[in-house]
Order: sequence, then C-alpha cells, then structure tokens
Amino acid sequence: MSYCPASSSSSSSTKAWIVHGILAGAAAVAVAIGARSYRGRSRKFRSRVIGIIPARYASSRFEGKPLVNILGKPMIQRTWERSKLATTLDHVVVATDDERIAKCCDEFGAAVIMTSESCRNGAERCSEALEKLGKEYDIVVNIQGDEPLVEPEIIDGIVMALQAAPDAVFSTAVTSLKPEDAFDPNRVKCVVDNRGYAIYFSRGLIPFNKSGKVNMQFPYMLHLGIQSYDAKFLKIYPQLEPTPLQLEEDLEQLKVLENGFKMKVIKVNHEAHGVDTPEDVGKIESFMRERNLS
Amino acid sequence: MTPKSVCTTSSDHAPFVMSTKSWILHGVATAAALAVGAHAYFFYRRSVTVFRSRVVGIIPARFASSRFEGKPLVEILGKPMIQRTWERAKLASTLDRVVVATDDEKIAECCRGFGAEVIMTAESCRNGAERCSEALQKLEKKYDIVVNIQGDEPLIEPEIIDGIVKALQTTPNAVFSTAVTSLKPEDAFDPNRVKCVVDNRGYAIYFSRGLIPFNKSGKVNSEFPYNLHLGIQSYDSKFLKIYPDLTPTPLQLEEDLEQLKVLENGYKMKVIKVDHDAHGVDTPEDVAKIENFMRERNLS
Repeated sequence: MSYCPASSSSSSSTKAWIVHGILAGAAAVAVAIGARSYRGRSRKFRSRVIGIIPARYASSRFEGKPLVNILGKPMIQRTWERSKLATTLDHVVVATDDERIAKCCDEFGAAVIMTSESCRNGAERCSEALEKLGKEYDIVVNIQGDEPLVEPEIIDGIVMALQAAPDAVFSTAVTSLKPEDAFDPNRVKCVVDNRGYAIYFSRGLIPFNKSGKVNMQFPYMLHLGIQSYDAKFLKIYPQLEPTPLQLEEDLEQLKVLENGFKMKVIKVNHEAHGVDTPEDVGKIESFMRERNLS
Repeated sequence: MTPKSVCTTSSDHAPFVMSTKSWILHGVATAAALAVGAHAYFFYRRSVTVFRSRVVGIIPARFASSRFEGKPLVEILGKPMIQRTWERAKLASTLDRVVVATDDEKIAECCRGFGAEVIMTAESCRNGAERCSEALQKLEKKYDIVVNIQGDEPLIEPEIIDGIVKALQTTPNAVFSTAVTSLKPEDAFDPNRVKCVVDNRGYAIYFSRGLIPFNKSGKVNSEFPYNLHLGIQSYDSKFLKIYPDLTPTPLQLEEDLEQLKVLENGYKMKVIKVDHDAHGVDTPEDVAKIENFMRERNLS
C-alpha cells in the first residue's frame, strides 16, 4: 500500500488536495515567520550590552585604589559617571570584592555585584558578575576602574565593532604609540590586518624592521586596556588554559588569539591616564586642573 | 469511530492496479534520490581523501643578484647548486613534478643538461612567488598545490617538502604553508633571522625580525622554544594566481617580510615545525662553509 493510496473517487482526491494545500500553506507561513524573525534578530545582532567595572580592593602597589579621591571625588565614581554616558550600554554595574567599595558605590547610586576575592583578573570578575546578573546580555564591556577619564565614545566604539563583526568574540582599542615608548615593555604594541582584526600583541616593538630602530614615520599602535566580549565567549574565556605566548609575554589577550578566536580592534585618539600608583593621582589632578575638568 | 487518517481512504479504494502508477513514480523518485546521493558520496569522498592532490614543485632560479651573480650555477663539491636542489626535490614523495623556473639561458642549459624540466620566466619577476606564479601559468597541466623550493638551499630535506604539502592538504581553510625550526638564542636579536609565532592549531599568528614572543625583561629566554622561519613555502594554486598581485601591505613593507601580506589580507597559513640546520648559500663565502659541512658528514 503506498502512503497515499490513489483512489478513483474524486471526492477523496479533492480532500487530499485540500489537506495538502493547507499543509503546504502552513509550512510556507511558518517559514516566512521564521525567516522574518531570524532576519529581525540579525538586524539587532548582539543588542543587549552591559558595562562592568571590576574593582578590587587589594593591590600590591596601591591598596584601596578605586576609592582614592581625584579632585574630591572617588575614582570609581568618576569611571562610573563616564561609563553612564556611553549610549550603547543598557546598564553599568560595579563588580567588587569589598564592602567598602560597595558602600561607596551605593552612595552615588551605582548598581553593585559582589564577587569573590579570588578572581585573578578583570575578565574573570566580569564573568562571575555576568553569571550573577539575572538578565541575559550579548556583550559585556570590561571597563577599567583605574582610567577615570575614559571617553564614552571609546566604549561605544568597541561595542559597535563587536556588533558589526559576528565572527569576532572580543574587541578592544588602540591609540598611537609614542616613539619614546617603543622599547618600553610596559607599553603593549599591537598589529592588525587590513580589516581591523588583531594579528598580534607584544611587549616588544612590532612591527620590527631591519635596522632594529624605531621608525619615526610608522604609525605604531599602543594597546588600551578596555575590552568587550561576546557574552557566550566570556563564559568560557577565564577557564581556557593559559597558552605559551600569553605566559611568555604576560599578556592575557594572547590567549584569545592562540585559541584561534577573532578579535576586532578600533583605533582611537586617547591619552592614557591610568592611575596605578599614588603618584599618578597628583599627575591626573594636575592634568584635569589644566583643562578645567572637575 | 475510527479517526480519519490524513490520506482519506474510501471503502472502495482501488487496489494495486491503480497504485502501479504511484509505484512507478515512487520508484523513479527513489532512483533519482539514490543517484544524487551516490554522486554526492563519491564526490565528497574524493574531495576529502584526495583533496588538493595534484602537486608541483617549482625551483625559482634567477641569474642576477646584488651579492652573488649566477649563484644557482656555483659548484658545490663539483656539482652545480641548482642540480643539488633539484635532485633533493625529486626525492619528495608528494611532488608529482619538479620544474626549474628561470630567466636565464645559461641556467636553463645547465638544467637540461642534468635532465631537469625548465620553464622560462620573465627577468622582471620581483620574487620567488611571482616567478612560481608565472611558471604555473605556463605549465600545460593543472595543479592544486605549488611548492616554492628555494634554489639556494641545496641540502633541503625532502621530508620538509612533503610535510608542508601534507599540511596544506589536510587544512582546507589555509592557502599557504611553511616551516619553522628552532631558533638559536644567539640569533634572537639578529633581524636577518625571522621569528614566527603560531596558535594552538599550528596556524601562523605573526612573523617578525624582532624577537617574538617578547617578555617583560627584554632579554632572550633560554628556556623558550622560539621559532625560526625557513624559506620554503607552498601555496594553494588558486591563491598563488592572485598572491603576487595583491597590493603590498603596511606590516609587510615595514618588516620587509613578504609572508605578512598573506596574514594582513586575512588568509590562513599553516606552519609545521621541523629539525633543520639552515645552510643557505647567499655569498661566495657560504660555498666553502657548506662544502666543509658536507665533507665532515661524508656527503657528496
């Protein structure tokens, strides 16, 4: 017996036509809805974005750093206020391991997530905070708490880079390297390909050249600490085994490249004013007074 | 009451006589499906097991040189260098064919003398890859992989040639493959020795004349297995057609490293690690060095 036995009765074949017609129509409608919702979602790819400011209390060089006052306002508050100006962020939270920092943040109205003291770096702290947040996000921006003059445009820039590059799981920013920093291993250099994907990061000068000297005409790139991650990638990133180049250079971001993931890099104009030591506080306050910033 | 099935039956539905047509239809449909399936199976199987199967080795050999004119013809223990390279290349099992691509009649004549195939190419070729690309076009057969065998490494191991060919055959998404060996610590800061870093699946990340990976101390780490890039390379032939004409890229120009053009254009490159003492002949002095090396090891 075949599946749909042919029948000489015309009323049966009419019924069969009707049934087949309805099934086909339903299938077509389902496909159309599915296609539209897929397209609709891809028009708003990676649309839910959160900024997280990891802020730990302990530090070998500068304990309690997030709370240090810069022209009368705690550094963490300055970073938070700047982040709130970024248009691509749906929310901004501070992820900390210390009650004193949490209390300070409460006072100026920042959302706080408590995370463990054992987080080894900002990415790990962001990952833990992401888990604790009730909501789902597509992109997490890791905003360094010790760059109180971060430009909101840079945050928006790296978010948009990740939204426009579905094959990348990580995005970050670079600025111009000053020639005097070429041979400073504390300044991380970066090289990219012709579509803005990171090729390599190094504490050595890259690109190098035959002479071994810095080329005053070449637009070397200095890597900035801000980074954003695809949320699914962030879940696994801290647990990935450290990789050989990462360990030798002591550069966390190399783990991304060594594992074959793609990273987008945007170029910005940014004078880095990181606060690493108590001396840096004086420097940044002078800088701000000169420019009438408060 | 029995529920109606999708295909409503009627109590007087016709038996097999009427369903012969549908049997035939179903039979034809099934046969068509089987044909498509078989075709797909065999096609897929062929492309998986014998992917990029046709391989040619090309030895670019030009006469002119700033440092060493006529270099391919220099004799090493009584035999022209180009002949030594060619004989070694012929031992590589993955090569279907080996040809010398030259721009000079003296080299061509010498090669024909020892039985090598020769393709004449333009003097204007700027580098080995361009010469290989021109030679490939002049070959009457089609090839999937082209191996660019440096004419000035007369002690090239056939296994290295086979290694880079197989790397490219097993990596469909790569268009280029090459080899590295251990970098000696004393070469760490020599810009003439090109260093290479790779990812955890053997894809090239970057090449540099500077030391990579670097570290906080700025000194060479005697414990770290740095990679020295060797000149041998192989290309997917479709890629080779466009490679020489790609516009030079910023990192390529600054480092003066042709292979960076591949990475900067977003192509993937496979890297194999080998044990190889490089014995390139760049200057007349290198001839004596390599002859000593060969005498010591009883090579002829």
